[in-house]
Amino acid sequence: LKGGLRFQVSAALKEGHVTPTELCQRCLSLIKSTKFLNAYITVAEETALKQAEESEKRYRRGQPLSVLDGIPIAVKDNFNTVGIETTCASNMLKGYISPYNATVVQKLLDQGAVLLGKTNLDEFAMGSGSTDGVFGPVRNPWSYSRQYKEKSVPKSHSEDEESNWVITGGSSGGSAAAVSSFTCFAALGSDTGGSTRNPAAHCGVVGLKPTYGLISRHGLIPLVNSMDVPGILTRCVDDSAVVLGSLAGHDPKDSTTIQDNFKPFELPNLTDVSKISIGIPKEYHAPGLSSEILALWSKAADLFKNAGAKVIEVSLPHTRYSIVCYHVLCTAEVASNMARFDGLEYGHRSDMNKSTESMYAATRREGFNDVVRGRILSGNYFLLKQNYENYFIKAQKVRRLIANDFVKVFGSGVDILLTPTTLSDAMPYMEFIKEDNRTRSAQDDILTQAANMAGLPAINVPTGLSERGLPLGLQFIGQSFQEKQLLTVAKWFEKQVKFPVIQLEVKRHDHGAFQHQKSVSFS
Amino acid sequence: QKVTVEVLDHLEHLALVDFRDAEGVERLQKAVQFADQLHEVNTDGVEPMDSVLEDRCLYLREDDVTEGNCTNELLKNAREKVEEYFVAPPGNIPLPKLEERETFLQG
Repeated sequence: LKGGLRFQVSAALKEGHVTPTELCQRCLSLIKSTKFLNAYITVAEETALKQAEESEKRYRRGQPLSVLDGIPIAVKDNFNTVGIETTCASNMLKGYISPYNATVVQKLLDQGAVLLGKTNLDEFAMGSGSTDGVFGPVRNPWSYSRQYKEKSVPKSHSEDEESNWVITGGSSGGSAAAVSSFTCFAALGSDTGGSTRNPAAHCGVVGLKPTYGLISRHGLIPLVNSMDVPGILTRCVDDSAVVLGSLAGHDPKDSTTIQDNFKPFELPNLTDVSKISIGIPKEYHAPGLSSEILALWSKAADLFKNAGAKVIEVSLPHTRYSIVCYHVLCTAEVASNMARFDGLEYGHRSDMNKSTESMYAATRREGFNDVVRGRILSGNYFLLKQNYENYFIKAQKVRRLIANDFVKVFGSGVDILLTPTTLSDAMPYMEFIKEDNRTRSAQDDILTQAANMAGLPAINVPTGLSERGLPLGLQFIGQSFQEKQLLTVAKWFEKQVKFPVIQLEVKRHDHGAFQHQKSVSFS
Repeated sequence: QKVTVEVLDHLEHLALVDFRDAEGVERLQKAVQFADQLHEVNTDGVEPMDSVLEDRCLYLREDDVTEGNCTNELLKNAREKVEEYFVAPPGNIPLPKLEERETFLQG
């Protein structure tokens, strides 16, 4: 279960060391044992097993559809899936069964992937903790790791373990937890302000945000149309390249995907980084950045320097305004996108029947949580005639300035930017909920969302463990549509830092403590 | 500068979403305060940016019918329907005014 896609599990499936149904069953069993993580909203056991059986037939005939054939994957619950509920963790869509698959889901299925289920998130992907959905918060698997337990000082007995658990980050927390706890090999998330990279950093997995326009958003329930992208979560950089290869490319159903021909690539094993120029944006030394992460960031820069790369400090002067800019643009687009939820065609519908408007109002009052309602109202405020110029248009102008900052830096010869992903390691849930969603989002998105503003590709690479035994990640930001370069450098870095495997302590349904199960069986 | 009750009422009408309580209203006040920081930035001569793909041509496809005839599929998810119609309560009845409807803003 710990094997990488490209070189281990797929090879194992091809050679018959393990069958797709065995793999699927193990994952389903592990999902059951890790139910307390609350990573999954829906587990599609029957359909997954059927898909696994079909995959097995193909392998027996020697005709797998692709390297993803038979590979168990999970999908964030804001992607439409046929026959499987899509809730966005909201009462508004409880029970909603989509008549179509999101393009990315269809692509994965067409290549034989086995869809295990839909993962938990913040309601409508609004949040940075995966704590604000109607199905409850997601727990970070690292809360139950030996690494974390060894470092925590228990004040009382098991009571503390229950209240000590840490968040996954968000909003794609369920997907990150699913990958981190070995219940699937890859998961889809979404990234609008950092929603894939943030939980990836907290859960110690690779989180890739592709360039805006590379992967289809058709079927991804939209938050901010000009910034949303599907995100990819995997356990290693090579795997994210594999998944990227199967998803990227023009989609006639999404006019915001570029028409350029996309060629899937294999990542070279870079040994010589002397031709690479790494930029360290000084503004990412943000207030509140933990000293641990600062030290890790510095160490990483030295790693590149000592290996011969050119490492220079750069400036992205408008960085501190990006969170404010995002706040205005996001709420404005949300106000528009959430208007479709009126109870008429799908989703929750109130019993209120006096008039169309009152029915809509009641439906939305009943269906949306505080966070969603708050953003809709704020967005509508910024879009009022008297505010449009001063807030919305102003934010769009600031957006251009932010995007231009990156253009200037990349234009000066820098290939890749190296920054922290989060301000600190994962916070305990009890501490996280002391502040409201908007405050937390504003704090946590600071390092990730400028990349969404500018549409650039960015990736979180798990780098080390904090003093509390929790994952710390660093972020690489690349140039538009230069994913190959970005991932090549990320892969080199990943190899240098050798991030430890999580020692998850979980009671399994079948025999054996699985943390002793090495990838030997798959090599 | 606080947001007036008139504007709050107007927003509830436009958004068809309610503030619910004092916290909801405070949330908006804070959001506006937060957004005001934008005015520190000098944007003279800067054009608003709609999309990061602005330098590319928007894709237009051929006007060919490639899918459709999925009435049953689409109606499956609606709660109230009659034959091939979605059923809505009577329109043309505006949302009751502030004084007449149940809203936190009345207080």
